[in-house]
Amino acid sequence: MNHQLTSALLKSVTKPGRYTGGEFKSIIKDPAKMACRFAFCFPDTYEIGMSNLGVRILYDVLNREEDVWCERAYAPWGDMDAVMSERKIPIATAESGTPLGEFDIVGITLQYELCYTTALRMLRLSGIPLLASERGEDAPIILGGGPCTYNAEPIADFFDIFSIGEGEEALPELCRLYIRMKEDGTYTKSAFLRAAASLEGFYVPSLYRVSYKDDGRIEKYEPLYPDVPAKIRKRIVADMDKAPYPESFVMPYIETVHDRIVLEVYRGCIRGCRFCQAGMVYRPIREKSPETLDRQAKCLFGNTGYDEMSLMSLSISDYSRLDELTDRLLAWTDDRHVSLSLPSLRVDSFTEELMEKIATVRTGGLTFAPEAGTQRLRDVINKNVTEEDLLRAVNIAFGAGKNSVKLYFMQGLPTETEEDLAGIASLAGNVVHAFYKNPNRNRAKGVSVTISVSCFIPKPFTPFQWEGQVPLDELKRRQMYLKDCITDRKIRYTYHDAEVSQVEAVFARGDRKLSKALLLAAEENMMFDAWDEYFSYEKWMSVLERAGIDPAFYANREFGEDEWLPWDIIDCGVTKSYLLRERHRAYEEKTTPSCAEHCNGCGANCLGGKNRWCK
Amino acid sequence: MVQVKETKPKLPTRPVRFAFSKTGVLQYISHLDLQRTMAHAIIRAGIPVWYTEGYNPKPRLQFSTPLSIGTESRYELMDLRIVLPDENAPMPDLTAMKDALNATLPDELNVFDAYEPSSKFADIEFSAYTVRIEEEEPDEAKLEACRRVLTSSPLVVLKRTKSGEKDTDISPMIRTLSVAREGNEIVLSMILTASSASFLNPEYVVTALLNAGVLKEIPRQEREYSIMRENLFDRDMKRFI
Repeated sequence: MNHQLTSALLKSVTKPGRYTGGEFKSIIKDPAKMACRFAFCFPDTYEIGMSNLGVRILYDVLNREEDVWCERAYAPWGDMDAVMSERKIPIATAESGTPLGEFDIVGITLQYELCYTTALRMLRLSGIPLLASERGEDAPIILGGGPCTYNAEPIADFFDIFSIGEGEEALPELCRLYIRMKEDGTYTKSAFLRAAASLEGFYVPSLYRVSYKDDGRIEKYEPLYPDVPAKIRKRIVADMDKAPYPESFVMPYIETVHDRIVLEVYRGCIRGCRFCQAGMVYRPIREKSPETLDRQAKCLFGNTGYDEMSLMSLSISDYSRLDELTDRLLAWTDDRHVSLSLPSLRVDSFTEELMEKIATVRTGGLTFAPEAGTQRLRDVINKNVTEEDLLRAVNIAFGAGKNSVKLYFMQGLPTETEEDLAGIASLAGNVVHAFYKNPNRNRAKGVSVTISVSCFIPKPFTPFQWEGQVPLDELKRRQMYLKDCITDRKIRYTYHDAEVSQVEAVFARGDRKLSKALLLAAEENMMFDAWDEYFSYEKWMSVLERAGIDPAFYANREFGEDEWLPWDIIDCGVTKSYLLRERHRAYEEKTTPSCAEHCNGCGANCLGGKNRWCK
Repeated sequence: MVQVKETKPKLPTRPVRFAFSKTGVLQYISHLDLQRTMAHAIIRAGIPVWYTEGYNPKPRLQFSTPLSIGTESRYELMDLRIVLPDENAPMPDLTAMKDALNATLPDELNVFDAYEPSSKFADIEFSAYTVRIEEEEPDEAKLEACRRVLTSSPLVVLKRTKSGEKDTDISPMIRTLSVAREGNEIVLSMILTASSASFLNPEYVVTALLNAGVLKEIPRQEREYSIMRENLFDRDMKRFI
């Protein structure tokens, strides 16, 4: 734990258990024998950071290296942040209590755009200069990773290097390079970064000159040296059955968001919903075998004692051997009082059998994501589910005694009209009718249908990456329009803050010019933008204005199809021509079949990988 | 669709009590967090614990008087029932069970005894605590002033209750209290009520002392002190086991 946090300070803040470290199964090594000290930072609260599977995987992988010690750090909540900044106490790791500034490498995982200010806050609290150009030889290497690095440009000025794609093999390679250069005396920060840029899957933003056109669009990216790659291809782990997976988890003492065994069933997604970044950037699809998963599950159960196990992937029902897997698991989990849970279900794959097998489906609430209110718009986004599928799924649920359903939708999708919005209300109404028409319904209680509506945000590496977000006022008007469409009191309507979504859209499609705004935000101590308590639209608008940035240029502008996009420096496997093809099919209201039915030539199979669908 | 679960024959169960200490950073985890931590450890240790029945079966664990965040303890008790394979099965080796549990717990949770209980937690009436407050070279006059404050009646502090904060006289809840000096520490040894009818959190005694202004004035965020629960007693002041 952080040795400067005295017991009086710990007792003065909420949830002191966030800061004490010392969790069971956290890894302690002898600092004297280490050649590389690595601090893995999660720029959000402890409870969220500890729930992240990627951190658990990489913590395990890095600590398998004998001379590397990977430790963890999280962002202190506001009350502790105030205590620490007042007393100049730096953030330190949970394991050894070493301040971040003393590490060789500080890795920060960037899971969502709204964590950028918190990431900078962690560096600032630790007394580490924010701009990479202002950090000397003594400062740690600041490494970024995670989904946001598919467009890292808005934060490029703050990081020395980004890991693009999957880190299981890449991060140990980076540490080995660091150790080798330290040992043979060739290490300087610039020599290391230059060498690292030649490793597969690493992006060193300072090695590129970016020029802009007069109107602010990008002119081009030029590597500064001939050995610096013009494009950075993401890394993948080829064989998921052979990929390292933790045999145990660090066990948090305090309750976290996902406090359970997590089994990653496969990577990638066969679907190709046109708004979904994860569905594109995690391709190609690579499955684990039921044998591997069963072995990993047993091992984790024995080492953690968790009584809940979550099967994780982007769309679990698309796993080609789901029945075999659940049968294998249920053969021992029931007797040991371990319940299985599934995070995501598609309506077209929801069956009575699945409902019987899965405890959380049996006992918990049910959530489906039709995403759009009319078949036309669902075809535009390539959701490939029908109203019939949804009604069939809810009827199974209602027939089994359920009386509440939650439905996820998006608002502001490309080509959306008022008819599509009204369609959300009528679809929810039809779910209510389905309940009352179901002869086996639970008559003890009425039905409750919740529709939760988020705002569409165009994301890099999706067919909708060129689309402008609907302007803020129009987004708000559409939110109210839908509200007026809902007359049935059994339907509860919740919607996301449009202002938050706009800021997210600015950073999702931002370029390096945004670093200036982030720097101003950091100076104003902005952080935790994903939290209502902290997010301030006024502050953001003020910061963007002072940085000379028009948010509409990034959020609402339709990008040209021939335009140099900020993320064109990254090669995630899926090609631009495929994304364009999909964009045009969207406007033609044509769907594209899943990878299981037909190869659509997205390009991700060029990355290799042992998988079932692409040949 | 009705779920028909196979009814398994009911196996005999026996109660087991574990005595443990909870010290160091574990003082910052709440009672609920302790329950979860113990449940996971019991499963890891392979103890044949009895689960509650119903939709969401959990190992049934019962704990003696809850400990507040920021209080360490040398004496906590936890009851569970273990399932035996049949009526005639002998009681398993409880020492081995204790060792198995310890092997999968952090050092700061240390199980030091396991036995079949012959008492009920409802019979706990009092708890003994040692409070150590950092204070530079406290002289006898200061110790005497502390004694005077803490043995006065009424002794009123703002106490959190179910219906909000309320000025409360805590003097009837202090059974014994002594004040001593050890180096640069003022040491309070005290026995407070710890039953469901009357429970005094030792933090309130510290607050009463700090409010009285007899110690050096320093902000609460810098006021260092530790609280250790030493023991549990029944109504006759016998150690509760």
